[in-house]
Amino acid sequence: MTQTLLKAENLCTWFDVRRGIFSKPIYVKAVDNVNFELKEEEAISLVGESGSGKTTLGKTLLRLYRPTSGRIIYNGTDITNVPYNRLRWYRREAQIIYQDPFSSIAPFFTIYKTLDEPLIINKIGDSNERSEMIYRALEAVKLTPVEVFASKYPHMLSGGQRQRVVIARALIMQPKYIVADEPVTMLDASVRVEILYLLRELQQKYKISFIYITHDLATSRYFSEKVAIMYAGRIVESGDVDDVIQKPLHPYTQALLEGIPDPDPENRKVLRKVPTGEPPSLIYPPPGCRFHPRCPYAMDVCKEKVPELRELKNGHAAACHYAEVFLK
Amino acid sequence: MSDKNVMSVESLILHYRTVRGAVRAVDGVSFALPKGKTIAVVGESGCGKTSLASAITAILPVNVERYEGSVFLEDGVDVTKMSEDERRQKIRWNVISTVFQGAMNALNPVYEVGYQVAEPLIVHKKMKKEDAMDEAKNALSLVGLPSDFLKRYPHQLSGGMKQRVMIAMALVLRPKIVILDEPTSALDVITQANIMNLLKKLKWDLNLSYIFITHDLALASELADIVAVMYAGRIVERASSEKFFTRPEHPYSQKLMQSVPTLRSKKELEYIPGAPPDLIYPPPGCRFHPRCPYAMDVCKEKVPELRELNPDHVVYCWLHQ
Repeated sequence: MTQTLLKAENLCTWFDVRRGIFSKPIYVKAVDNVNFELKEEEAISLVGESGSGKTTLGKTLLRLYRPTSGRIIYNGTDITNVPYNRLRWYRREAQIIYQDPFSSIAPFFTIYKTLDEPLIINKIGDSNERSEMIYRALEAVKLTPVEVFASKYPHMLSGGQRQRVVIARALIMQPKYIVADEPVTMLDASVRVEILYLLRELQQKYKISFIYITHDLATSRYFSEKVAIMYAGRIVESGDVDDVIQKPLHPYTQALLEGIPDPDPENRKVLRKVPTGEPPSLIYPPPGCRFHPRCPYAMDVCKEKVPELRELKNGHAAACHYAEVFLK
Repeated sequence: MSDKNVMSVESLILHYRTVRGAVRAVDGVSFALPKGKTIAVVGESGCGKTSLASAITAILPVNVERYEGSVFLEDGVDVTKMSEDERRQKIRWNVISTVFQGAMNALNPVYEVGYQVAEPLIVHKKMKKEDAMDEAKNALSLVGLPSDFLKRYPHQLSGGMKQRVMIAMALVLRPKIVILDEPTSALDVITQANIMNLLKKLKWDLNLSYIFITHDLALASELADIVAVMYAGRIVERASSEKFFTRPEHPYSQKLMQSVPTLRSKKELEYIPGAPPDLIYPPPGCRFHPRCPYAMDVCKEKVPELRELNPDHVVYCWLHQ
């Protein structure tokens, strides 16, 4: 049985957006009462639309944001309120890969310097040891011959190659887990698959846990065993990827799946049955289930009572009052 | 195909001038667009698909090195041979309109959206403002927005609503052809599905012809009657949707299809090793040969000629000669 690496309990990250210091606080409830668990050597996809709070959740878990309430427990240590200047050790063990490989590496640094920088800051090794680590990291992400790539500048690389540099930079700290925030969204279809396979390979080889943040449910099944679906700041469904895709228990997940086409010439002849409307305001979210204004099955209870995320079958959980009906 | 063509593009060429040399963004592209049908132009970034859109409407940047070929419309006129004034008055918005990529950012933040939709009518049709606003209201209802949206400003709308406004604007002069350049690229899955539903309905009701430019093959199948695959400035395969999605024939198309993750069936994904070529110094012969698993000697030397496998399936590949 693998150990729990990271756990979030009733986690909330609210941003205060009030104007003027004497007015009443107004909060954007980007992450609202989320329970989340990441085990060692496990990959979880965090799927949601823009504004669903998936990136905020990822960054809160990394403690790049300080949560408003709730707890984050990493390897048995409560890190919820540890001040930023005493989190250095955590910064080494938890890494992030950003979406845009064009803006997340310094343009005036060679690739060597880009990878050297975190090692210097964390006072790791002497210069010989560091250069060995850098070449090893470049080899791990298949930027070979390593000496050639180490001396290049970012503008000399393609999007896919840059994203490999970003991955190498995360890898070089030998992290326990990595938050990959839309790592392949900016890349072309053919390169996308290449990078996903590389991440998967590194995950298994170095036994790193991954939180893969994406809006694309289709790629998540190629990358992770588990998935958590977010809507308006909450997790509405979670479980094994195949279970969730084959038998979605939350109407939002069902809508999401209906919205994603597979290449099929029949598609053009039919309309997709997706709900209209937009995700709700995170400042004044609707009471009860946050999906109820768009939900085709909404009943009175959905407007009043917040559905809890509850396990229905073998780790497959959903936050819907009528999830049992969809299970049949 | 017995349908009448609303547009036929013949040997269209668009090269850009740069300090390093000419960028061959569009290098001899031909296709026909039947009335009421959609052709999807698919390809990876940098293959020239957006340049193709600007070449068709002759909206060109200043650094054009070479612009040749023909874009014939239904009545036999050639858009490329017209004067700029004529194109502006007669063609753009009236016959061909475009919904641009990232169109949500194309709206003017300081004008009400109603006025922005009405503006082409005031400019092109010399309509009075009140009449134009009435028309704009109709156009907005066509895309599913209530009339009180006329008075709203762009910042009061969500991304999906802005995209609907852009579509309303493209339709307000009732063009025959609409170019859709990645119309949903910045939208969420459900919003995207809603916009695709809207585009389908408009196509059926108004008998519109679309040129749908996208990098997403699954999305292409939502609208396309014909699929044209572009690689390094050229079309490498063109086929009816049925033929293309069941059996692509060009090695590049096949690889591209195998790289699309699917939800409903689990398949082994593949990727194409290497990168697309430099469009300043494209490889000789078939431009895909350096990445092609089946490359032969002839591929490195001679440009493959058009081969008609079927009346509605053509491919440019030496394997099929």
